[in-house]
Amino acid sequence: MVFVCFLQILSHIEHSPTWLLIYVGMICLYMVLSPDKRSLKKPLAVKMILVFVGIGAFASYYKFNLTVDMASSFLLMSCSLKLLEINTEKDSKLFIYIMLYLSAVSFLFEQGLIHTALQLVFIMACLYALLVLSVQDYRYSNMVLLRKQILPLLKMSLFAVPVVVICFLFFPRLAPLWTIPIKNQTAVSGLSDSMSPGEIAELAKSDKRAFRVKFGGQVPVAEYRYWRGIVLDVFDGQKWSQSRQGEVKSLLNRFDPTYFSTSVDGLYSVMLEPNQQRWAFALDGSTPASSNLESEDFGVYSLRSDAVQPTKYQMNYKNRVSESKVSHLPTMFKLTGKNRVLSNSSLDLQVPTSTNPETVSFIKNLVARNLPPIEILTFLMEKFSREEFFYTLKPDLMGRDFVDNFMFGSKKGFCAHYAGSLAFMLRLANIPARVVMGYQGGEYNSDSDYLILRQYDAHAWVEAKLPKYGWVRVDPTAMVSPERIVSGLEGAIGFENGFLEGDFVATAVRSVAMLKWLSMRVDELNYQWQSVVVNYHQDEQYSLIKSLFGEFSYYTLGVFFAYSFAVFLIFAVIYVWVSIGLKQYTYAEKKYILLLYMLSKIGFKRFDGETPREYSERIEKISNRHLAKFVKRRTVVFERDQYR
Amino acid sequence: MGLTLPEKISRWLSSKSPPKSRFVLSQKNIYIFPTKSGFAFLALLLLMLITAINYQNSLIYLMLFFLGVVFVISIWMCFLNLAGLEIASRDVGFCFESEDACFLLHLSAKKGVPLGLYVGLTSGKLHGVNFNHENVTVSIPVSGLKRGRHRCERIRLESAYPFGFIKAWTWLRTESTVIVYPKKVRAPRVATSNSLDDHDAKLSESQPDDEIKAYVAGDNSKRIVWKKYAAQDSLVVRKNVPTSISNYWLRLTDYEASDAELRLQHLCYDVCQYSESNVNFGLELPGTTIPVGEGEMHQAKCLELLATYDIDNNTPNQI
Repeated sequence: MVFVCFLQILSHIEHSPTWLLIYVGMICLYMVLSPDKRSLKKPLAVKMILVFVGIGAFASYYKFNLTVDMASSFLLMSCSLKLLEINTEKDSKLFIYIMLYLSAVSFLFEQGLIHTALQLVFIMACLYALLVLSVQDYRYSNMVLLRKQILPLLKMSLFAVPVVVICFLFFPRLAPLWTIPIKNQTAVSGLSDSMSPGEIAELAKSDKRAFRVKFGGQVPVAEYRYWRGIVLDVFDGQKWSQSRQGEVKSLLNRFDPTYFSTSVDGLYSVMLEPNQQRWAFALDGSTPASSNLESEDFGVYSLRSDAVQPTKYQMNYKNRVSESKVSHLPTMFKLTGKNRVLSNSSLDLQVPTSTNPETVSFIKNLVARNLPPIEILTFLMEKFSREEFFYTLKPDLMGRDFVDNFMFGSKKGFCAHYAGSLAFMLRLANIPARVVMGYQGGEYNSDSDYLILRQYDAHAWVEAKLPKYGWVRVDPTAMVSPERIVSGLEGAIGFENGFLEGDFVATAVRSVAMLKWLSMRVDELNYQWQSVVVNYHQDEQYSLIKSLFGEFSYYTLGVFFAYSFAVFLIFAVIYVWVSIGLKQYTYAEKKYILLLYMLSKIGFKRFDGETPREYSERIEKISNRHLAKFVKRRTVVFERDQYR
Repeated sequence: MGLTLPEKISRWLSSKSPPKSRFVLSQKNIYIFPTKSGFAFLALLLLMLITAINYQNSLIYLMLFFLGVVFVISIWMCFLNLAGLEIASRDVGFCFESEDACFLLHLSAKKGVPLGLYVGLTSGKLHGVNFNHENVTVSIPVSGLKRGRHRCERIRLESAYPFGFIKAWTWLRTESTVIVYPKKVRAPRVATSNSLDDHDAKLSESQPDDEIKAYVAGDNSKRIVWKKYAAQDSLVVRKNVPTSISNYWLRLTDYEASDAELRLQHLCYDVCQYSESNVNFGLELPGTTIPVGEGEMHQAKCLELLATYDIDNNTPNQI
C-alpha cells in the first residue's frame, strides 16, 4: 500500500508543490518505520498533528483559489492521510480507487512516455493490490500462491491490449462538456506576452523544445521560417506589449470537416510543447487546418485552450516567398492578411511621449529629408550594418530610455533591442510598425523529417506597413548577424557569450556527436508518442475513420464499435469454452486424444471398447515400424499418466 | 400462495438444484454479478471518462479503456476461477450434541486451483478455503444443532477472485449430512446389574492364550495384536476374546433420570465407555434393539440409534 502511495508521489513530482511532496513522503516514511505495522492503529496524536500541518500548509499555499491543480493536490494530500486510517478491507479498496483516479489526474499535467510507463507500473501495482485483497483471507496468506498471480495478471493485460487499442481508436471522442481551466503554478520557460529588452536573451540559455513541425511538402529554407506568435503593438519607451484591443474572433467553427479537404502537400503540423499559453505559432501564408485553432487580429492564430499538454495543430501553407521579396534587404518580405481588423489602425503609430529624446530628434532630421517610407526603412536597416553594432546575448544594462542608450550608446544588443528600436523609429517616422515575437529557424532532424524549434530559437522582428506593399517583414537582426537567421543562434555566437549558459548537459549533448544522435532518437520517439497517442483527438479520429470507411458519421463509428465489441465477446466466449474443455483433461490425455484423431485420419481408427494397449498392438501389426514405435511410446506415456 | 419473495426464490433455487452428492461447477450453476466495489469501480470509470472528455486527454482515455477491459476480463477470470471445481459430499459428519457439527465437503480442482474461495451455509458465515493441494476437504462448522440426523441446507461457495469487482457464487444442495449424538452425560452410579468396574476385573483375569488368525478387513481393530505386527510384519487378530462372559445390555429403562432426553444422554455416555473398554454389549430401547456386538461399527450403529431415536413414538426417526 505504501509502495502504491510512493509511486504516486513519483508521478506527481512534476507539478506538485515541494512541500506537499515532502509531506506525503513523510507520511509514507512514517508508515514504513512505524513499529506496529500489523495492528494498523496509529496513535491519535500523530494523526492529528499530520492533519493540522497538512491543512495549514495547504491553506497558506493555495489561498483557496479553486484550480484543477489545487484539487489534485488536495486529493493527493487527503489520500495520503487516508493511508494512516486504513483499517479494513473496504478502506484499502477505497484507497486504491482514489489512487487510480489520482493517476488519471496526473495525466492532465504530464504526458511523457516515461511518465506513462511509470503510471502503467502503478496501475499494475494497484490491480495486484486488489487481487491480493480479493484472495486473502486474513487467517492465512499463501504468499507463494499470491506471487504466482503476477503472471496471470500480466497475461490478462496482454489480452487486453488489442481491445484497448480498438477502443482508443474508435471510441467516439466528444467535445468537452465543461471545463475548469488547468493552470499550472510552476513557471514554464518560454515567451511572455510582452517584451522588454533582454527578455528573449534569457531564453538563449535554454535548449528546451518549444515545438516541432512536420512538413507535408518541402521544408522552406531557414530565412523564410519566421514563426509568428505574438504581435506587440504598444510601446511605453521601455517595453513592448499587446494592446489587447482586438477581441478574439473565432473565424473557425469547431470541428469543421472541410479542414481536411486540402492536399497534404501544403500542410504542416505543429506539435507544441506545453507552455500554458494559447499562441499558435505559424508561418506567414498559413491558414488553419485543424479544429483547435482560432483566428485573431493581425493574422495571428491561437489555440482554443491553453497548451497544458503537448498540442498538435495543422496549417495549410502556401509557399509564395519567391514573388514577395520587397527590396534587396535580406528577410524583407511582403506579408498577407496582417491588417488590423478589429481595432483602430492609428494604434500602429502610437509612440510614448517624452522618452528617448535623442532618437526622436534623430528621426526628425531623417524625416526632414522627405524620403519615401521605403527609403527610410532601408536607411534605418542599413544603419545597423553600417555602424559598429554587435549582436550579443550579454548586452549592457540600459536605463530608462533604452532606445537612446542602445542606438547611440553601447550599440550591443540582442534581437529584442534591434526589433524594439527599429519599430519605435519607424513609428516616429510615421510608418506603421509593430514588433512580432515568435521563433525563427529551427533545427532540421533529417532522419525523422521534422523541424525542432527550441527556446533559444526565440526571436523578435518587425513588421512595417509600406504604402505600396502593405505589411512587410523586416528583421534588423539579419543586418547585424546574418548567421543568426541562416544557421541559428549557435552558428551566430557559438558557445561563448552566454549561449546555453549554465546548462552543461545541454552543452555536452550538442558537442558530442553520439550524444547528439542519441538525443535526436529520443526526441523522435517522443514525437511519435505525442503525435500518435497523446494527440489523438476528434480531428485525428475523423481522418482515420474517413480513410477507413470513406465517410465519417457517429453512426458508422457506433456500428464499428459495436461490431468490434461483439468480436471481442465471441473470442472471449470461445476462450472460456476452450479453457473449460481443456480443464477436463490432463496434458497427457490431450496429447493422446490428438494422436487418436490423427491416426483416425490416416485410416487407423480405434474400435469401440478397444483399450489403448490393444489398439497399440493392433497398429504394430498393421502399420510400419516407425509409426508403431511412436504410437507405442505415446501409449506408454498415456498409461503411466492414467495409473500414476 | 402466501409465500414471501425470498421464500419463492429459495423454492425456485431448490427446484433448480436438487440435492446431489457430486457437483461440477459450470455455467449452469455459477451465478455472477458485480459486487458493491465493482459498481464503485464503474463509477470511478465514469468519472474518468468525464475527466477525459472535458480535458480532451488521450492518455486518460487510454487508462480508462485499459481499466474497463480489465473489468470485463475479470468477469471471465472470476467465472473460470470457479468453473471445473468438483464438490463431493459423500462423507457423513458426526458429533455430540452441544459440540460444533461439521458438514464435510470434498473439493477437488483438477486443474487451476480456485483462489479466494469462501464456503459456508447460506444462512451462516463464510469460511475461507485454502487450496494447498488439488483436493481439499472442507468442514463447515454449524453450532447448536439438536440431537438427530441433519441434512445440510443450501451451501454457498463464492469467490471475488481477480479484483473483487465481480463475485461468482453458487448455491448447492448437497447430500452432506451430520448425525448429532446425544450429549455424553455420566449417569449417577446406580446399582445396575452391569457395572463396568466389576467387568473389567473379569476381563483382565481371563486373558487366555492368544488364538490368532490373519486380519481380514472388517475385523475389530482393537483386537489386532500389534506386538506380532511389529515382529512379523503381518496383521493378525485375536480370534477368541471372552465374549461369552460379557453379554451386557444397555437399556433405556435401566436409567432413573426423569427426563427421557437425559436418559438417552446417560446411555450415550455408557455406550462410549463400554466401547472404549472393549466390552461387548447390546442396546435396547423401547421398540428397538441392537444385538450384542463390538467394534467401531457397532458403536456407530448404537450412537446413530440414540441420535435418531424418537422418544414419543418409540421408533428410530428416519429422515
